Amino acid sequence: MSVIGAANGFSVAHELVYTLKVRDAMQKDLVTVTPGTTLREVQGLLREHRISGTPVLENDLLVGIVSLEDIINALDHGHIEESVGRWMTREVVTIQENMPLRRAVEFFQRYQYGRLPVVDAEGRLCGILTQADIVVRLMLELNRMAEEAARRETELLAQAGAATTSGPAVTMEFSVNAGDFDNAGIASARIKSALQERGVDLKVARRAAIATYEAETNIIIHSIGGSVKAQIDADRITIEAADWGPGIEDVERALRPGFSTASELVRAMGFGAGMGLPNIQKCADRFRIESTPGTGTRLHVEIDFDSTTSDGGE
Amino acid sequence: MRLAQVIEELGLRPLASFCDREVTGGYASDLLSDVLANGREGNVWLTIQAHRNVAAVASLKDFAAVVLTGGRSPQDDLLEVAQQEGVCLLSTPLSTYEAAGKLYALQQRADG
Repeated sequence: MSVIGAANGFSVAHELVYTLKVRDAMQKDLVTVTPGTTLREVQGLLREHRISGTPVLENDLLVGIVSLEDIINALDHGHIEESVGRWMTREVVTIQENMPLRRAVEFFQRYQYGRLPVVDAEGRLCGILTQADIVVRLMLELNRMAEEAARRETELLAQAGAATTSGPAVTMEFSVNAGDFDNAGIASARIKSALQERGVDLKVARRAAIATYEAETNIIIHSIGGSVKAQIDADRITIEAADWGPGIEDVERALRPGFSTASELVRAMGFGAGMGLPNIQKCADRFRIESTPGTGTRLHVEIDFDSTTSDGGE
Repeated sequence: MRLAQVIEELGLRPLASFCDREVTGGYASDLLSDVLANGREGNVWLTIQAHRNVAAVASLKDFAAVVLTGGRSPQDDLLEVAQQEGVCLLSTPLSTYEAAGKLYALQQRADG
């Protein structure tokens, strides 16, 4: 089995196996034994550390390697109680820590070993390398590169967005139906991405999204239906959530954290924690609520793009 | 700590494809507004809620993953919305308490 087969053209992974060194991928926490260790003890060590082989050291010098295969043979032929020195593999292929990973890949392809002891310039053992270590290292490296690329893209978008933040105001409107939990979050997701496209700071966009989400779910849970409108200006977003009733009896009480009139059914879904309006208030730079029993509720939220208000989650 | 590491060490089962990323910690709660207020970007969210609004909340908060605890399976539309929104959905037979304990211990080790 090879980690990286014959190259079909030149890929990022191939470039990486040239630039990364063996020391970047090797395991440094080593389990070692001496020639005097019994194969039975080795068997226990391999099981305990879930590894399939271990280097044999004598006076800090690498003198051999003992693998699961040696243990199986020992069990088979009845010499499991004997010492490692007699049965270990003495011809050990090692690789230097400063070699490119490409070299290690070649070694694994050429020899049928599961692991390669890694040595420093003086020939002292400093690590061990398996094919799985190489795969993990490459994956992490590829992931790091992907994140870096995503970060650069966001930066570019923000730069492009900065030029358009001063553009014409954008308005969006969403109708929200009573009891329609399936569509909760649509308005907030659209508003969040619209703000991000304009290059608005992610934290500000998230606060606007949270305020909108809570407003949407309030309409879904408590009202007979309504709408959410958003207007994005150069320096702020204004969110208006309005419903047609039945209105809030005691607005002050509704603003108190923990107070909720939600039904058991709604609470079982994780809504109705009595934190909706307080959450909106926390996200907003300006917040206004007007409600008349029998008529409906109107919620007005403004969030400034350069504001420092926190949503408590940052 | 990385998401792949969390998945491996806690033995979580990915319910859909996911993208490895940095995990900033975790939050355990079944109240959506509580999660919206107190969860942090990059968190792993532990919950027994398994309906589609879970994906909406996770996406709004940019969570690294949602873990359905107690062996709960997602309602069909949750899977669908999670895929659409790019939300990493995982499941575990562990209770929220056990999973949170393991995650916390892992983070302490990773930070220390």
